[in-house]
Amino acid sequence: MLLGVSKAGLRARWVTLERHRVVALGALIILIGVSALLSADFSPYKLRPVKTFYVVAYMWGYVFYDSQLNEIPYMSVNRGDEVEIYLIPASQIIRDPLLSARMNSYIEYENRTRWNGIGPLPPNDPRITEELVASHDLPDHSMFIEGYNVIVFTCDKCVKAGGEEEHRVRYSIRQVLEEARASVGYVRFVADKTGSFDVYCTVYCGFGHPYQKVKGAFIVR
Amino acid sequence: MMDSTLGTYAKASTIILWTISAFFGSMAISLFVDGLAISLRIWLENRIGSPGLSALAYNSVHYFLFQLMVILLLIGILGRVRVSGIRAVVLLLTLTAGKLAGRAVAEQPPPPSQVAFSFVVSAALSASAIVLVEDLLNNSKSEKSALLYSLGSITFVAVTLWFAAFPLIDMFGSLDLSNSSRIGMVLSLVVLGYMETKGSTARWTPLPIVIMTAYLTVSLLVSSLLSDLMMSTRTIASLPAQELVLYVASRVPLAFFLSMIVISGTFIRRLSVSRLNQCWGDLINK
Repeated sequence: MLLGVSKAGLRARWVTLERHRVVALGALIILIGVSALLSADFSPYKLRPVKTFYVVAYMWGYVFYDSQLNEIPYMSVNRGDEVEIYLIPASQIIRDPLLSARMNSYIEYENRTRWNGIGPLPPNDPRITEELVASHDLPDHSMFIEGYNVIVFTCDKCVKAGGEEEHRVRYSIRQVLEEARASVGYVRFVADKTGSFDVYCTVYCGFGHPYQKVKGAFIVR
Repeated sequence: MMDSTLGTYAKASTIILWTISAFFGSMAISLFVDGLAISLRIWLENRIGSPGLSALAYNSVHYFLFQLMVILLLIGILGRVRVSGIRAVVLLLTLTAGKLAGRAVAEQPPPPSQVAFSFVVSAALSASAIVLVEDLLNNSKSEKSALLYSLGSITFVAVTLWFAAFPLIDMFGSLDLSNSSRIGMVLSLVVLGYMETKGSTARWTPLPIVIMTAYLTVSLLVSSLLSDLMMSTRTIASLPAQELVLYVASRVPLAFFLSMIVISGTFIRRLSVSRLNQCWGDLINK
């Protein structure tokens, strides 16, 4: 007997008390563990928002679009976001610049090169068109994000019909994604470093290849 | 003499253990559960695109799961030991400090008025958790209906008025004013909780908590309608049916959070010095 309570009574009371506490602490540890798995930066199971970007790679540059296909000057995300990038070869949208000029709704990317100039060639220099035509046999590009060491490639020749390379005129990025998905490169990664990162092409794509670079195109806040 | 010294050491070491466990436990809860609430909200907004669902998920984790985990922590630390007086205050401050430390690790330093609001809210929620652990584990009698309806009615009016006024106050664009008004709301609910229950010896059990939450859910919806009328906006009327259901559901965890603040008024009862000596020995006697 201790303080008027029998040994068996004390033991029963201790067991009841401890059971409460053990169950509570066990549940707490499980809940904290699950919360940490789903929320901590180091966890592979963290619930990360996905930021989607569509990038058109043309001769010789990149055009960036957000998930709603609005053109944006650069790709901006928050640290910890999951990023997915679709790299679309401009050659799958349109190849014929004359047709593009006639149809205002077409997106003509190579005109950007003509208007802006490329490397040593000034804007609207006729040699730019010559170089563009000479490079049409090299329609593929890549986009390498420096600092992240992430790379994504296009595959123009992956879209074929009847054994021959198909080059239909497509009116929009959405149409390319539906009809020529095989040509579109895709990469997904976690933006875990803050900073401003350059992107450039690593696949030889003609005269302007060394100039196909956009400074600070990928920004992680 | 020697037994007395050993007893003092035992008490001191137990209280130090409590304090350390309460601080780091609440810090871990704050760090990971707040992080989960934010991650879940952004994830649902991004992947599913339903603001109602993301608000419901955020409120459920931030208001309900958080408090549930603090209660589990206290059950784990205290068991059935009753705390009052200085020990209750120390426990309250330790829990609050742990929660704020958890947020400080994860977030950018907020402005002073925001810190003051976080402190008041965290302290009130810690107080309600201490009250609930004691009441849920030791109760034999629930809160009287008449008292509950009286408390429910008066807090219904207070919450309706406060939440209808917040959009008007926020229109001034002053963060200090907005935070001060929130602090005023919390303190008024604590005072109401204390004033209405100070003569009672009854305790909080799950049913009275559910009833209080139901009262306050309705008051939050009424205040939303009132603020829509006052601000000439159509927040509720413009919601599609599914979003409206999710909006109403997302008010429930918020109402639970407000009922916890009301319950924290009962904590002041635990501070009575007359119970101090009686409760001080409970730790050893249990």
